[in-house]
Amino acid sequence: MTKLKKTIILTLIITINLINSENIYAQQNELNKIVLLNKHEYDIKSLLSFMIVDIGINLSYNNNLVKKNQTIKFNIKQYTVKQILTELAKQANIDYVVKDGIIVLKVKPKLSRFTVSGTVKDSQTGETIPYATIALKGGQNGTVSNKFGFYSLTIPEGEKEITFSYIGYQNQDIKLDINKNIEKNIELSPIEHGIKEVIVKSENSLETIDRRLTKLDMKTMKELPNAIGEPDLLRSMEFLPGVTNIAEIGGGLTVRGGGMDQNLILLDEAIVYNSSHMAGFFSVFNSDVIKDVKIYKGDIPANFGGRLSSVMDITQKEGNMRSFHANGSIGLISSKLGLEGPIIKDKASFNLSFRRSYVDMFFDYLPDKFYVDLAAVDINFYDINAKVNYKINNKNRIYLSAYQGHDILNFEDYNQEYGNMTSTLRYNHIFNSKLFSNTSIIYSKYEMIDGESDVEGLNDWEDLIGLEHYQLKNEFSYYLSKNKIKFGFDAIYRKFYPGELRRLNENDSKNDLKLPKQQALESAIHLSDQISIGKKIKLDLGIRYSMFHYLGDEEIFNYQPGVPRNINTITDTVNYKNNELIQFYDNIEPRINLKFELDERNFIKLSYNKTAQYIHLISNTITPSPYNMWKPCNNNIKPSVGQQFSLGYFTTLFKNTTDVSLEAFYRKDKNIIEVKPGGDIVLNRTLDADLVDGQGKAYGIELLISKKRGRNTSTLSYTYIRSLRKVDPLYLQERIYSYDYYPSDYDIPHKLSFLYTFNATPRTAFSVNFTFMSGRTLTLPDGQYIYFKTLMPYYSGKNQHRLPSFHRLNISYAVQSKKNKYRKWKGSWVFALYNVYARNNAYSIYIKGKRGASRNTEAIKYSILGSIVPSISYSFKF
Amino acid sequence: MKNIILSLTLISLFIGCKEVIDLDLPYNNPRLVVVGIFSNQNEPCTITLTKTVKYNYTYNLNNSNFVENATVVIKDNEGNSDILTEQTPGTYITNPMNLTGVIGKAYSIEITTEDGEIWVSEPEIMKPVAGIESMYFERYPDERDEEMPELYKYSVFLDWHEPENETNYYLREISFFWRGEWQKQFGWNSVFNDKYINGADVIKDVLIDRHSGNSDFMVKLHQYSLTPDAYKFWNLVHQQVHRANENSTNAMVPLYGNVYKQNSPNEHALGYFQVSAVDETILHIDH
Repeated sequence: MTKLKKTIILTLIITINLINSENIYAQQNELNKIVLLNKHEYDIKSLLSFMIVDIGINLSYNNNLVKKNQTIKFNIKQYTVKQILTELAKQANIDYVVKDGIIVLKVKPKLSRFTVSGTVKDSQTGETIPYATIALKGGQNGTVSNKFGFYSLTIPEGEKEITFSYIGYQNQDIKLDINKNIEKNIELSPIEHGIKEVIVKSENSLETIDRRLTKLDMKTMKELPNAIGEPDLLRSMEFLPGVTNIAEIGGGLTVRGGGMDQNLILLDEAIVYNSSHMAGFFSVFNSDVIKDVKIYKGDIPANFGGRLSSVMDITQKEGNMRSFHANGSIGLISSKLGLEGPIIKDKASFNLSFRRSYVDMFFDYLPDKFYVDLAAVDINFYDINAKVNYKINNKNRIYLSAYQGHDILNFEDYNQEYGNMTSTLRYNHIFNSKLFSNTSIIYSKYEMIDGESDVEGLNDWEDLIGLEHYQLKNEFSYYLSKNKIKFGFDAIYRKFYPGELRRLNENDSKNDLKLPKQQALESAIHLSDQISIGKKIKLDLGIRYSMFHYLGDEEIFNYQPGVPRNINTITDTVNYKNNELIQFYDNIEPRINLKFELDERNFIKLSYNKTAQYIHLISNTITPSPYNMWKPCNNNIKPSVGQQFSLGYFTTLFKNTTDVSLEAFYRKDKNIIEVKPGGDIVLNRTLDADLVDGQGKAYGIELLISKKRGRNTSTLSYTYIRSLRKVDPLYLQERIYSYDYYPSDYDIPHKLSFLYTFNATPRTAFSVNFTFMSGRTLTLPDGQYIYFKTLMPYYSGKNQHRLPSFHRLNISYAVQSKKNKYRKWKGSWVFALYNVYARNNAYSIYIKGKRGASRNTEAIKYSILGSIVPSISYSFKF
Repeated sequence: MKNIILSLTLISLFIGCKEVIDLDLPYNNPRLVVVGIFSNQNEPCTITLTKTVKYNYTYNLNNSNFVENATVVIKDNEGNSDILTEQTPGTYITNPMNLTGVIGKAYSIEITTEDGEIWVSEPEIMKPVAGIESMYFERYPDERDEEMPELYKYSVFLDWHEPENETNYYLREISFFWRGEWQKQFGWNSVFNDKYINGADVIKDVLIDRHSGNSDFMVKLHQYSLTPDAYKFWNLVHQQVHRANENSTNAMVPLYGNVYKQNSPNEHALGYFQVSAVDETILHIDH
């Protein structure tokens, strides 16, 4: 390449006149002979022949060594022959040896490249560190360790210094003489009471080589004020630009204007189908066992798929490989206890954690507020997280992790139980320093049972919904010097249980009802390549081919084409045998991400993404509900397909202490499924008739400024995002829609959040956070009328109004126990005030008939919190 | 049943707070509202025509914004029709001598307003309705209230047979005999389909379960058949009014009925021209 360039340049320059003997004279000693060069550029062949013929230097070379018209540059001055030869080596790759007084020119041997690979670990616990940065000092070369701590870096031979770094750990510089492939396992030491990083580790930190990561810092997260007395992972995500928590506490997350069900939430690779406890009050993720969280918003890598908006990739801690520890916390409404330690030192370890809420204990002391006998109400949940791992040898490692959560809600005659279970078995194999593979077998399940009983027991029933998920996936990473190739496959077989109603009294004359089980296979193959083009461009090209097989046995309904699906337009039913293919869908999903570095501190990123989603959450609430029914695509319901473009500018300011990023995006989704207003989602045999197909689009800009170093850290993010939807025009006949785009339930244009943390001493942290958001969309009446003595509000559109703006200020103070070498017990307190100025933020406003007065309606504003919420929590570790 | 329970999210149980607020909302284009059930009962059916008013407008008997002097015609699919009589302003009644509902026949309405606008409906078929075999009650002490052992509850039960054919849709309307006349209790209306009871002999179906009053009284049940469209409409009426809660915003949508402007079929009236077969049962409850 460079030689070619030189040839081109050469054709443009004037021919050099070398024959000017007056300026050149020679001395005796071959290498020390002095030559005066009076031109800036010389033709190499002419120069060499001049040196031999005119100066009489004993020089020998093969004519093929030098290309025709190849030139070399000099300053105008006297050179020794040795200096000229050094320039030749540098500029033209021509080396020399002196043999029997003769200088022999030869091709300079190419520098070999070797691979340094290994695992990055925590020096205290022996746990692997995912996404640590490995960078060659003084060069552009670098990589990040993968999810399992494995890294592979291919660099030219020679003495090199490599820096290993990770948030919350001391950097480590290693000097290596690279003359062969080297296996180097590294242990980084955590910064004990150090200055913390900002909670949001954005992708624009220039030390991070893999630019698309957005990470949450778990340590900082734990010190944030919260209303429920313990840190909550999903709620902390609202500090990320583009991620919004719809409701104050019972939040569903919307990412870049997408729906709640468009986020892929993974716990050790297993899909979590319902990420909340107690109807959204808590997330199912116990912050004590989380090792790492990564969020992909727009540029989802090709190895992930199945959701339109985002991927939240959560990894559980593996457990300390060297010593036993316990940790826990005591809060007002829940407590946690965890144990970890080695099974075989430095070979195998475990991590086990248990969390239980006891919120209902306080119900006995609360006033009867909503005509419910609170003392008779039970609401609680528990969680168990467990993980074991076994390092068979340096090349093979096995992980087994599991999660089980369970919620109970009993009041009066109604009871409900639900929970997720996930388990993942993973096998890491390092074939050689460049090829890494991970194979996972995953099982995940969600189940909800609810039931009701009456006094006589006659009308007792219970209802069950759920799904089961079996998955096999395999992924290879192949590290080359300028490429990182990933490829693999993924297959998920799911069984859906859309509903079963059982009558519990044998005298009950009404029917049992069981909707047929549904089954489907979702599979994909993917390939991606991270390529470095020159020093400035990094291109990540990925492609995912996803397939969906909807399988029998089932009796399915066909609907008349070209008219809205409803119970009147069913044309016929068809029976399919077990595992017979009912419907097939596939999608080719390109994922392109281009990064262009303007200089060391500035870069531009461009990305395009296509994603497909084959299962939909059927819900008529906008916040999480235990009635969490996932529905596969079938002959009537098509997969949702989303496309997203984004463009971002990233920079660091103020001596690399402050990251600034500005991103804009535009996305368009088709075949979005929504429940029709008034649609019946419970035990509905013809559910497809109650679903409507639509389209969505969203666009926006996101600004993030974060000062990440020093005793004061702060993050400011502002986003402007619009999210619109419309139903397919043929549904206009249903008389409940307007054709045009309307603001979706997730349309929250302005959002500003600010987070400031001050570390007065290394063991204390004072933090303040403030959030401002536009109010959520709302449908309000344009008039009213009387229908059979009942006053009815008249709505003419959808989501034409908004709730009042949402804002809230929280503060917290966290203090850790004094550092003492001889004391194992480490405690920390978090004192927090949530909603400091007692803002009564509205969750919704709705119109409802007045009790006992049919000709009157009233508007009710419902708020989740209307007061300041103080909380204290204590956590410990020993 | 379940929708109500689901909406009682946990938060509302102990820290959520509700307050009634004043809303001042703009008011646009008044719309025609058609209210009425055409049934197979051999008595006059009432169709009421009004127009929408501003939200929060206080109604009284005289200012319901009635649409007066319209010509209202109900037709069947065999060419029979009845021109309704305007009994009081905005209230039009049929003459059973001219037209009575027959199960299986289809009926439509045509309304010509004073200013010449013509509003029509697609024909609605009168579906049969399952009759109630027996209606009875039981009284028992209210065990839950320990402080007032004298308090009684009573339950009214129904035994009936749900026919096993295509999906049936029902509207139940309860009236109490009070102050010398039957008073309809619209808040007690229920709308349901036969999903859980298709083809069943339904025994002890709970109609009413409430605290006992001090005197004897009478309960009347009208069980109506509904077309799928009318069921969908009623279901949304219930969602918008009776089941409204903090999570029910999905149901807050334009709710137009089956009556539309003849020369502009995309312009729909509010309300519904309902065609139903009806079954009527009366129960006397002794104290």
